[in-house]
Amino acid sequence: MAEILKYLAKLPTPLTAVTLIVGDEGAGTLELANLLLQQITDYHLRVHTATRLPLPEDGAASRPNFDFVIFLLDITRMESFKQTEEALQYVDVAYFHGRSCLIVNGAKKPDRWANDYSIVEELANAYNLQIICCQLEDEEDGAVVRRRLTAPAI
Amino acid sequence: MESDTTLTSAETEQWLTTPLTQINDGQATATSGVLASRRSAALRRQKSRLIGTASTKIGASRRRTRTPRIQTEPETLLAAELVNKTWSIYKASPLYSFSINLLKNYSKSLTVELEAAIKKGVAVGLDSETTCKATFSVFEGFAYDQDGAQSVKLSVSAKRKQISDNEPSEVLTLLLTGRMNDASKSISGSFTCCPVMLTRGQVMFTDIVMAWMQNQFDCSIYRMSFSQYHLAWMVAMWAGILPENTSPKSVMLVYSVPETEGVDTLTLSINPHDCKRLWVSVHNADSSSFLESEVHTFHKSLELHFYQHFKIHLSCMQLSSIGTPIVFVSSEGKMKMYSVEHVDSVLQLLVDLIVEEYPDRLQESL
Repeated sequence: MAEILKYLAKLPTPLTAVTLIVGDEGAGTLELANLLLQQITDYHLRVHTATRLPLPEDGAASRPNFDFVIFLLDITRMESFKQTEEALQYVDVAYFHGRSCLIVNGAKKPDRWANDYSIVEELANAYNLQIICCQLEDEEDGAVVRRRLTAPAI
Repeated sequence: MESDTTLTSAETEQWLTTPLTQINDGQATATSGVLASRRSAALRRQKSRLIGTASTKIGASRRRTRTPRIQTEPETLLAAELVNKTWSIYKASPLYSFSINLLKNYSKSLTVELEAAIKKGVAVGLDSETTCKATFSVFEGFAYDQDGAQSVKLSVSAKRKQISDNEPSEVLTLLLTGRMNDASKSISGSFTCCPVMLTRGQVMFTDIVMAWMQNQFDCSIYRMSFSQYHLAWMVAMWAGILPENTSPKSVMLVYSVPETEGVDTLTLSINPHDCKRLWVSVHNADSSSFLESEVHTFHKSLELHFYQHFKIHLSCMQLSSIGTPIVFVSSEGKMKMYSVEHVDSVLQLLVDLIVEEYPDRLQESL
């Protein structure tokens, strides 16, 4: 049985937010990570990236506790949707209580969508994920995503 | 550079057996978890709705019905006009105060507009000596509902004055069609629903005509574009139809390859008979509707087959155009129909897709 990503399996680091971005190759995982790290925050922000879940066994010891999981999906490719759908099954339910979100990349080009939007919506609703639609290469969109993801919770 | 990868029918022999069984396995693994159970519940609901009522309303693009073909003489006239030509598809919001009795006035008004545009020098390549004539006409006897709304054809022809024996050449043909089951009725008073516009001809004239229409009928007209999702639906829906008389065109799926140098497109062409066999094995023949799960299985089997031979995941590519024995459609809104008998079902699908985009309130009044 593959390892499920557990919340608080380890002690969290004080004043540090550790984020995990899950998105298949080409979905823009690195772009999003760089984007997040540009933001100046009151806390330390650490970003980890993964192409798929479950995470590999080796290196598990040195891995910190993840406070937030970002699922990144490229709506223009069917493969990306499938991978996200699969990855969602290896995540602890505690993350779905406001500790995760779904970012839909490529949303500004509806003619290139591989999937009907309602299917993506259904996926997000099933896991209680908040959807953020964006076009990551778009500067304005990137700034909005960055601000929304790093804003302190109210 | 373009690389074409074509599957021959010899290779297609085995796929009906091997990949399909694998797909069943694939589905079994996929149907675990919260989402899968939710979705299958939704599908079950659709199925029961399908059996229970004969409603023609399409449930949010998840289920589609092939329209039964009722052919009458004048219809074939229109169909013959449409087939074997490449058309650009435009979508239109309902037309305000459009009347079939005023076509002559419209023709005059548009002719004036076109000539003004030519005088202004908007039209490149035409000197001011050129005369233009716009003619709206009705496809006689082709009424798609009791109110008498019909398909309308607009043809624009240009003629140069200096050369007297010059035949006026047709520069633009535009067809307003909106025949459909329920959406054709005029909406509350003065609106006419005529969602599909097909054009063929010079872009310059198309722009002028579209601008005139938007002003005249207070509507919005946009270029139709198809998402990969819709193209995938179309292939699956029409893969099972083979026109009887001629040798059918092969089923074609053109994928654009993202971010790879040297290869732009990838063409998968399949023998139509093989494709039909595959579809028959996937589709429930007793039902007149198509389910999303069937479309999904169909494409998954094609992708698996392709992966077995070429080790390429087609689902990583973007589907850019499709060809079936009855129609060719590209994602940027061009199409070419090949079969007179199936013009109806193609147009019906276009209408459905456009009407689905209308706001809910408008859809209800249709």
